[in-house]
Amino acid sequence: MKQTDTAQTDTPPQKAKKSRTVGREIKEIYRLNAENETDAPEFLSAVPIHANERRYIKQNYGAGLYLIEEKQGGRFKGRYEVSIEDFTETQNTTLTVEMPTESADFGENDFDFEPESEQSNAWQYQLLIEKEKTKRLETELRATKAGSQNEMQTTVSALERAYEQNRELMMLMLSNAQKPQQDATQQALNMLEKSFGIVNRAKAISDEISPNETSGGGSSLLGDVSKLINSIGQNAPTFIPLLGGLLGGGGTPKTVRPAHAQNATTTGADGQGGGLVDLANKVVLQQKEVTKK
Amino acid sequence: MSDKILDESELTEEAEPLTPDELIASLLQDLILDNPPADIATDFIENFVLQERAESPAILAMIDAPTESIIQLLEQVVTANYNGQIEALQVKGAAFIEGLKFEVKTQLENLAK
Repeated sequence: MKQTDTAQTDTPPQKAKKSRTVGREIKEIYRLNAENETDAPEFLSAVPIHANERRYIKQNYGAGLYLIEEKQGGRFKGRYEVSIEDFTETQNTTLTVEMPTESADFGENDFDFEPESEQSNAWQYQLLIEKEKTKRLETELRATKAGSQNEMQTTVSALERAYEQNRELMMLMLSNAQKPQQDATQQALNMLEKSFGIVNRAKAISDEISPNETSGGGSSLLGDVSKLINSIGQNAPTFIPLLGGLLGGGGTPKTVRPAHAQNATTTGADGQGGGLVDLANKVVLQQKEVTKK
Repeated sequence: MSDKILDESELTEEAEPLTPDELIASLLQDLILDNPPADIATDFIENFVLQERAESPAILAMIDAPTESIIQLLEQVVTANYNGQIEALQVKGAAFIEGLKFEVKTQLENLAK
C-alpha cells in the first residue's frame, strides 16, 4: 500500500469521533483507474466503517477515484463511486461518507443495462472486481500453503467469508437482472462458484469426500490446501476463539484464533485476575448509583 | 452524481455486536492512524463500558492481555487483510498497546473514585 503525500490533504479534525458507536459495516475499497476503464479495479482493503475513513484513505491510498462496496451483517447495502473530495466533515468533526443515491451503474436495485448488450461497462466492471478478488485470495492462499496450521485456518476463514458475501451479492444481482442479463449473471455466478471452489473442495475433502473431484485450475493448490486441512482435522486442533470464549456465550465468534492465542488471559498484565473487567463493573455500578440519586 | 449522507443516527439504530474480527481490525486501524490511546480509551469507556455493551468485557480482557499476545492477534489481521501494514504494527504496536492499556486503566480508576 502506498503512503500518500499528505501535504495535499486538508487539515485533519482536531479530534475525530470514532465509529464504534455506529453499526459495524464492512467496506471494501477499490481504486478505480480513471484513465482506462477496462483495467480491473485494484482491490485495496476491506475495512470496518470508521469515522476517519477519509483520513485513512488519504493517508494510505491518496486522492483519486474509489469504488466502495458496503456490507452490513454480510448483506449487501450499497456500492458507490466516490472521489476522495466527496468525503466531507460535519460540524462536530464526525466524518461522514456521502453515498450517491443515483448511480445507474452501481446501484443495488438498478441494473438498467442495455438489453441488447451483455457487455455493459458496469457488468464488466463487476466481473473484473470478482476476478481480482479471486486472484488476490488465491495468491494469499498460495503464500500461506507453506505456513503454519494457524495461518491456514485464518486464510480459510477469510476465504469462506469472502465467498459467502460475494455469492450473496451475485444471487441478489441474478434476481434483479433483466432477462438478457440473467444468462450473463448466471455465468458470473458460476465463475464465482468455481473461483471459490477451492474452499468448498478443501472442506469436502476434509469431510472425506472423494478428492478426485476437481474444478479445473488450482488442483495442485487444492492438494496443498486439502493436506493442511486434513492435518488440522487429524490433529484435533485446539483452536480456541479468544474473544468468543471471553464473551461467555453472549456472542458467536465467526473465526477461530490459533492455539497460541490462549496465552492471552484475563489475568491482567499485573497478574490480578480480570482486573480491568472488575474495575469496569465497579464503574458501571457507581454510575447506576449516581443515576438513581 | 447525487449523494445521500450516511447518517450516523441511522447506523446507530442498526448497530450489532462487534465480532472478534471487527474488534481486532478496529484496534489495528486506530494504531495505523496514530489515534491517541487516550481518545480511544475515552471513546471505548463512554460507548461500551458505560453502555454495558455485551462485547465490553471481551474488549477489556483483550486490552488486559499480555502485549505480545495482542500483537500476535493483530499480526494475523494484518496478514489476512492489510497486506503491507505489518511494518506499522511491528514499529509502533507495542507502544500503542501499552499506551492504550495505561489509558483505559487510568480512566476507569478515575471514574471509580
